[in-house]
Amino acid sequence: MNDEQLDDLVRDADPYRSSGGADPSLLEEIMSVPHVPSRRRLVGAFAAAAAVTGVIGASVLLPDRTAPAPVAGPDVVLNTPAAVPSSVSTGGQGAGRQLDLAYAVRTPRLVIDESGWELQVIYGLTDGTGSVTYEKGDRNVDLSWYRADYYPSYLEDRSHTGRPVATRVAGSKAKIFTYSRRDFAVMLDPRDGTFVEIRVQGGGVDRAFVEELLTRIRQVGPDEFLAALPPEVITPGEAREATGKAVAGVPLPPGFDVDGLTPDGAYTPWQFRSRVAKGVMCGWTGEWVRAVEATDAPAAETAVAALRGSRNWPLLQDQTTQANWTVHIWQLIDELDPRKPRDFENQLGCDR
Amino acid sequence: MISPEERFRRVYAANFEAMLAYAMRRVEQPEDASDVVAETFLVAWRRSRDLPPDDEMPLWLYGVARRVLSNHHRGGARRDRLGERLRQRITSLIAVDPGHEVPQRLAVRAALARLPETDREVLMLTVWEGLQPREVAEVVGLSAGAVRTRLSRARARLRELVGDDAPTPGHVLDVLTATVPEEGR
Repeated sequence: MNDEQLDDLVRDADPYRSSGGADPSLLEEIMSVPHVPSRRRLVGAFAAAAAVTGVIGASVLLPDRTAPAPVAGPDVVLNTPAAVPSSVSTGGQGAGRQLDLAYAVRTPRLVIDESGWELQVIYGLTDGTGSVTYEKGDRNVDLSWYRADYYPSYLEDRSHTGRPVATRVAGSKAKIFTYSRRDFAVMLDPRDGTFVEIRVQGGGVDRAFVEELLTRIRQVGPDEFLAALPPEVITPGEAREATGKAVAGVPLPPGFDVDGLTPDGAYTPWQFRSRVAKGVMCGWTGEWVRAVEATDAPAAETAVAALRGSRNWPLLQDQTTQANWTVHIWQLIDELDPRKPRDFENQLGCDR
Repeated sequence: MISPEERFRRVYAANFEAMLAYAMRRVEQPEDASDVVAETFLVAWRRSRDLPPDDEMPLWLYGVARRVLSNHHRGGARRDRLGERLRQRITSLIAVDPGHEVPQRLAVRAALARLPETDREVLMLTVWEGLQPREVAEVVGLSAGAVRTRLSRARARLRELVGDDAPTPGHVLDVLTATVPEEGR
């Protein structure tokens, strides 16, 4: 038996048989897991107000199905909190203030004590995960925090890039990984159920720059953390009212609970509205499922029509320039099979 | 320029089948392949801003999958929450096709299982994944020359195990059939 015949024999013993193409549900599951934050620019509006502070962030655009269970989290803010007067800070009043404080207490509160960093995105959940992105010129800092039980897998993943350098950040042990000459990731050891990763990239960024930046990151108290957030950020104390405004002009499913839509945490407006939009879409999808199972054809048609009409929802009108998510969702809506609401529900990532 | 998210979608679509095949060829229980595929693409997703060029992606993914599989075999942490639907799909595929495997195939697989791990991997990457020696070298971290040496050794050993006669239709190789695991469950 020559090599060719032997290889044929092995080839014939291949246990794999085609599975019928890429699995869409796994793709969506994976993309709902926080990853190394991507640089997202919020068009102009937030930049001016946040001349000084940053909060960390890790970055899923929308609520993920695999979201970790609630745990306490690290709070990180970048910049000179003292330079941001509380009168212009974000936050609720009265009972809303208490909600904000309760949120801040559970968040890792790190600030960068250096002026000039502009907050681009905050996506801070109350379950111990979140993300904040800052920019200063062509430099970019992402602060992300994750549940502590993800730490080993993240560490293993980052370790593929090479040996880390030990350091300390805001009193915690940390490791600096070098992704490239201008791109670094700093993983803080887990604390209080979460760990923080700081990604620093951009022009002129080198190891010395990163090490200097790390010395300026410090942990602050809840009040200082909240005061450092720019006014555009929607905090838990403001979220309910903001949800009401967000759904104005949006058709809602029968018996829909608007209060149940309110995202939990602190968000820049785009992140907030997209979460609300997804909640409404899931509401319509649930109605579609119900209608199909009840063989209620008119109701099913109404639900599908509502989803297809989401391109006209006011809350999605001004975020299309940056919204990969909406582009993707609308593609799914264009391709949905009216007979298969469960498939769409899975693709959208709705909780059942 | 496409976004990292869109790039990842394309990478996923272009490489899913190959990664699933790679995993299913190497796990004992086919449905466990979903863990390997999920973890492999999760690594790619986390690196979605730093992925290699398209023409380097398959080899890079094979390298990641190889490490993931190594952890899998060591009983390392699994992302049970990811890939559950894929697992169900694989299970249903297997259920539909109970896999009345030709004994000859089972015998060849049993023979493969007796090769040294790296030699076996080199042979499988060559024949099943269709990689060239220099590509195999990149995935397993050897020189191309070392790969050729191991490939030659693997073929020789396999030939010993399955018998040197060229296979004929209907011929049942008599290699270790008694120890063949329950393939295709």
